[in-house]
Amino acid sequence: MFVKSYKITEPKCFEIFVEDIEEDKVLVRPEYLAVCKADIRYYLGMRDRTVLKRKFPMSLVHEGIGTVARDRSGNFHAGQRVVMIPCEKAECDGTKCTTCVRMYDYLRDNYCPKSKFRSSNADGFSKELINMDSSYILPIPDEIGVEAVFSELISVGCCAMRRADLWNKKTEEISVWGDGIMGYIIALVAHYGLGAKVNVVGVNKEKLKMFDFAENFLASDVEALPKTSACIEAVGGNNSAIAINQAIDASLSGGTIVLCGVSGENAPINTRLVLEKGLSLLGSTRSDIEDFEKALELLSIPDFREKILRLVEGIDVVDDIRKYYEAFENASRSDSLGKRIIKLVF
Amino acid sequence: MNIAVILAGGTGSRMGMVDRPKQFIEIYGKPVVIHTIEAFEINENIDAICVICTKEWQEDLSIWIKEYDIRKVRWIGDAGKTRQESSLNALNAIQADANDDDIIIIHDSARPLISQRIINENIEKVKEYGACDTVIPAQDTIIRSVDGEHLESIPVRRELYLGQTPQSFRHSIVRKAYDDYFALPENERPVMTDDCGLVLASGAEIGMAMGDKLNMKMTTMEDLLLIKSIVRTSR
Repeated sequence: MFVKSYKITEPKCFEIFVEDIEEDKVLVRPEYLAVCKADIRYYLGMRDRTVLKRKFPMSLVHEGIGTVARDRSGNFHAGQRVVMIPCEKAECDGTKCTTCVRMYDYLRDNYCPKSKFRSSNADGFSKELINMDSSYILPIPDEIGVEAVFSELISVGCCAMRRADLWNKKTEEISVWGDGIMGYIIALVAHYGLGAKVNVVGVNKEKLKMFDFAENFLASDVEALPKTSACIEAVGGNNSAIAINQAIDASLSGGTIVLCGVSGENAPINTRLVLEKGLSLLGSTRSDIEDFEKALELLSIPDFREKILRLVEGIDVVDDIRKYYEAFENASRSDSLGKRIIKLVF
Repeated sequence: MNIAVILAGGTGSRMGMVDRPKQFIEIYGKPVVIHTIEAFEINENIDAICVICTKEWQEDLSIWIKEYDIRKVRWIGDAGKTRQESSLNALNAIQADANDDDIIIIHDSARPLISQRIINENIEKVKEYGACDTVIPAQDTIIRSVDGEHLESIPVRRELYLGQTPQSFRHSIVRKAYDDYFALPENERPVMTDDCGLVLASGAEIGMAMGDKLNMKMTTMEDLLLIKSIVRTSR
């Protein structure tokens, strides 16, 4: 089947591709997409040139929902709205290879080095149709609207809770570093998913106002921050180290710090205090099907949904490549908490 | 009901191929006509498909439809001697099952790169106007010459568009246009190259849906080369 797509061929350069695709799985038409920071790094060429050369041409965007165009298996019906999970598991014959992660119960398919992740080492969702494995699409309940496009980000928040075993613990209080969209969503997941009191540490007073369900602290003024056994860092960039060190300071002995931000430079951290307190630091960004299911479960809560809907700053119909460029230019310049959503029309 | 009519009755004489018409040439191992039908097969607004082709290719077509698991094709009709006759045969084929309000989307089988947007826009425009042509703005200056030797005039470019397909209609409108046209004695029928011309002659209003350059028609061997060079395989 002939399918059109937008692919990045070099920084700031998209081309229209027409490809003859396999159609043996579920054909899904991507409909609403959100551009993430990783997409912008590719768009602006903020990765090593040899890395980019190896990855391009590639369709960008890994946050999206779509509608089923055809499923011969009968599991889904045409027109059904679905969340598209951006992972593609590697073919595995069960033979243990040197890079196998199956012995770690908490690491799933997308930690297998042979797996593909869309808009990273496989084509993303900027396509007319995608041939998807049925296990990587989830039906969207009727009550959930376009805000389901944030399922991937919510799933990353859910993944952080799962990895730190917070779903199973009675966590009364949790501190989150980051006043960006990831911090907002993680804080929401902690508030509605765990029922915990949430402290948020940020630098932007205006953005922190949006965290009206949490207690807010400026990063320059964290002395008043209560000590907690669970901390989550969602700052990333060059301020990672500051946030992680503050989290180390604010952790109770034996506590866990989940790292969700992508650091810029190598982050120097206070390992002396980590050792003194016996802290666990774990990295978590790659969510799995179970986390997406949890995300949809949370989106079924009206208050949670309403707060996610705040992140939708508008919907731009993208029916030609010029508008696709505009969407990336706007996303590159944006400093707001939410996102403009792309309605993709081929 | 929205019914797609795929006209695959051409002989492809301009391609120079002797063993098969252009719409049955394979691209990446699949006949062009199947690529085209699939675009309508996966469109959720299309309920049924009628394919018109010459009798000698109907068995092959039926085999491919089964092979590629195409489920919306409900009618296979005979090609006529002209495009108008083929369209009329399609209208006759669907007559018993189609209501007056149904939308008929008529498309060339030799345009396999039809987009979903164009199909959907055609349907929306028919709901608004009763009929719709797919067009793209003329980007080159168009020259009019009657004798092929001398320039007659240069029409204003901004008023000119190039017609593509689909051309889409309310069933009652296209049916009446065809009944009126074929009611005329053969020697009095005006020369028409497409369905919209015939519907326009019947006095109906026709809206326009924006086509795109990729929705090109494979007419010559150069077109086939272009389409093959555009489509890459991701298999």
